[in-house]
Amino acid sequence: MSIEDLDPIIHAPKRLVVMSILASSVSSDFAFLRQHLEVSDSDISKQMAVLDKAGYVSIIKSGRGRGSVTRYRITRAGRAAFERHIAALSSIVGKPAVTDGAQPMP
Amino acid sequence: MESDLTPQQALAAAERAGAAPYVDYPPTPAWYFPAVGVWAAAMVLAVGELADRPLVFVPVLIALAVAEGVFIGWYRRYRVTMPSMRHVPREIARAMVGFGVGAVIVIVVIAGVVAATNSFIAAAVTFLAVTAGLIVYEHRYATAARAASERMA
Repeated sequence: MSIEDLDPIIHAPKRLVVMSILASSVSSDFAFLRQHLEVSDSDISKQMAVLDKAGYVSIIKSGRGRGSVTRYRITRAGRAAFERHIAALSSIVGKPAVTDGAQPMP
Repeated sequence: MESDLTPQQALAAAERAGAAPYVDYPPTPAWYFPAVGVWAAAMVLAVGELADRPLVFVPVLIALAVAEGVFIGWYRRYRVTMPSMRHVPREIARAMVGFGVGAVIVIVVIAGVVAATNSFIAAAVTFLAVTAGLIVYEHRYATAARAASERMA
């Protein structure tokens, strides 16, 4: 693993946070992501569109009008890319990567 | 948010964000603990008193299963972001192991009470043990979530 293994899509800090949340949740909604990113709705939409286009997340919309909810779920490709990215980061800083299981990352 | 991060900062940010589904959750309503206690007691009572009457037993079991399904559906909507059991912060992993051990102890105790007494006493013990056990677990989980948040702050 080296700096070349870093995923340019996930490397952006906002998308790294989104992918980290989605990697440890069944799914998450727009409001939860906004709360943890502390950015505008339009910025989140932009970041999610990039991840969606890369095939890293799937978007689930339910309801209509004011009660509608948009949820996001990490895809298999997204999880694999995220775990490779974390392994590459861990390799750069010289720490073992633990990307799954009962222990957190470094 | 920083426009760029060092690898160490990126790993720390990923760890904090990955813990969010575990440490950031809505308060558990007070009715949850006795409601699950009642459900477990009803299950013990149904198995103990109705198992030899399938025409009553099966519909009761189905009703209990439906009630559980409705509750799980509600809880997923209430919690919004359900943890996937991946990247569990170590403090919370310890609380979860404690829950598993506690659950086994409660099941063994209830089985002992069923064998030594009758279904009604076992149902009462089940209600008390499950309700109290869940209250203890909720407290331990909240303490673990605070500890994990503080470690990653």
